[in-house]
Amino acid sequence: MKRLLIANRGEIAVRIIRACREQGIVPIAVFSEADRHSLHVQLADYAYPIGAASPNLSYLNIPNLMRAAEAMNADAIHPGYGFLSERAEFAEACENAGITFVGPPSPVIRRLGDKIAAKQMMAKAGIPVVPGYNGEDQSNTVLMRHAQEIGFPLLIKASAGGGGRGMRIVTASEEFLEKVDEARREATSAFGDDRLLLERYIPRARHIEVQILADTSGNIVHLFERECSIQRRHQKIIEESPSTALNPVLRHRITQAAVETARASHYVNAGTVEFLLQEGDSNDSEFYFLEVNTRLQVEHPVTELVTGKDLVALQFWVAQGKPLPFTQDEVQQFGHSLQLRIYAEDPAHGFLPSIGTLTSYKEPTRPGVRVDSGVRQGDAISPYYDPMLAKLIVHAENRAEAIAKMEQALREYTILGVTTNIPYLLAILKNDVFQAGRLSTTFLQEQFANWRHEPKLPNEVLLALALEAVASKPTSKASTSPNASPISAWSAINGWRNT
Amino acid sequence: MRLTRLYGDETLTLEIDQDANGWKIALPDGSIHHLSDVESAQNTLSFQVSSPELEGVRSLSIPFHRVANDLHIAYQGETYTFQTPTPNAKTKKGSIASGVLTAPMAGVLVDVLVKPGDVVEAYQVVAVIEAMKIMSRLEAGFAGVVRAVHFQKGQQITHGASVVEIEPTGSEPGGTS
Repeated sequence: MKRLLIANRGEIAVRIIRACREQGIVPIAVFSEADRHSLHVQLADYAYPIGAASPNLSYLNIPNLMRAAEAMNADAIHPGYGFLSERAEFAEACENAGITFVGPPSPVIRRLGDKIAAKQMMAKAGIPVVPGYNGEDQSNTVLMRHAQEIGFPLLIKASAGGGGRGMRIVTASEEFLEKVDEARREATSAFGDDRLLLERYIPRARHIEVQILADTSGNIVHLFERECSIQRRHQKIIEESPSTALNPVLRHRITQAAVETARASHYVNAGTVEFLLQEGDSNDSEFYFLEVNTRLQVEHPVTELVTGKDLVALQFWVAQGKPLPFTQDEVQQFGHSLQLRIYAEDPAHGFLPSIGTLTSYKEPTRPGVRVDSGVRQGDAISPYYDPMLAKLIVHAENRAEAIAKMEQALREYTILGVTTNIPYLLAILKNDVFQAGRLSTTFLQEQFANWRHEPKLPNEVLLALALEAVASKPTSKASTSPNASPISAWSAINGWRNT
Repeated sequence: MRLTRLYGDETLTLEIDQDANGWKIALPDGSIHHLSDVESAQNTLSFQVSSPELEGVRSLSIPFHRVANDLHIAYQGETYTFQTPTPNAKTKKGSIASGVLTAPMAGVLVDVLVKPGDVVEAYQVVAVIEAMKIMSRLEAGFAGVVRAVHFQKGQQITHGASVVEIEPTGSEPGGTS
């Protein structure tokens, strides 16, 4: 593996480029018209244009990507997450072109990517699954009949995808068919596949996932769990490891189930086995297999920080057919790691995406803080892609310290030009239930449904407000206030300089 | 001199005057602050605050960003937005009655479901805007006839752009949702 093409954009492309550098691999970026000046394009050794801004014409376009790989003489492709990362046809196109796909072989992706087949496979292997319908007959009548059997509330999911796309909670049978229509539309546009699956909705469940890593010789290890229960509309916002829901017994059971899942599916490379955990008394908690994500996860850094392992480097390693460089006993979980997703969106106005130019952008730097981002000051945030600007990840000795460190890092993060969810994230960090570690996938609904963003005006801000009127621009009038005296703020004033 | 700024619905009055070392600022709560070493560079205001009672100074560096009449100031994870009052400030309320449907966010117009001459019902979806995978539906505020469609499917539009104009058919406007 000498020249690796990264079939992605944004922070994950940047993350993979950095891993390439450390491994002595030449990183090759691709870009859509909207991304010509993006950070990932600048950081790579080479960059190749793959089409128009709309994802279907570029980052989701397999022929364009294969042409780029050929033109740039790439011998490997990393798909990142999202886009084509879980599309078996893409892995297959790489296999056919003699290019190493950094991920599982296409048959594995196909088997697990079909959520219906995956659940059946795991049920057969003795892994607990959530009751549901995952049949091939997708007619409205059949879906409705199974919905009635499963009972409400239930979940509709796109059988081809993850990340909450196409997912709907249905609380009553009257709204079922309408939600089915919506989910089909969203699934088609996100994954090009309108098949759906239904499953019982487990209220107040916790989302626990296990990182697995398998080599081509059949060795499988897990790298412990991540808890991703803090979700808004099924989109994870905060992830952490270890989970406060697991005791050593339960941790052992769930990680073993993940390893069994990998074995049953002949898994190779890095993957994530997602479970729903229904909490009971002491050791009575039950977990159910949800799905396997056959790719690197957005939240992989928390695993990297608690285990000290570089997952992208390990992906390169096993993709080259090498045996795992360590055994299960050599993997340990140290301290506590948290990750927050920083989005360009406005939590005070229905989380509408915020588009603009990053006029001020400064990432926090302090020990134990990691920022994975794909943007820099001056970048335009376009409407074409996911609104995630960056991931802020911390590592500390324990959870309380990790939360404290995270809060300080967030306060030091300067982003102007777009509205971000930082105030919302700060409020979550300060929430008692969150701090106590009593998480569930309905946490935000329960604790933040009526959240109002009402920051108090600090004096520091008022002082800056006053100064801006007199110190902003040499050409501006002293003030636009109607009452202002027309002083020339500039030349005559002592005590300040303009640089 | 006196400065007036709007913060949401609140009107703030601040006094700023030169003094020997820089500026003396009186805040709405009546507190007085002495600022020196003021520097404005690269969208950041740097300054030192001293008070006569205490020795030592507080050194601050606060990023800001001005877009037209909006001033954004970033501090400790929060962004505060202020406006300078203008005599001709227009409200957007009139647009509903006149039937101009404006984009609630910037994005790409992924669907236009009406054309000029179409009769629409109240709350009928007339267009769909997408930004970063989020769909926002533009609904008619009331029943009427489509007079104009200003954008085509696939075009990028800015926040507040008028997308569709509807002429009401006599009945009372119902408001947008």
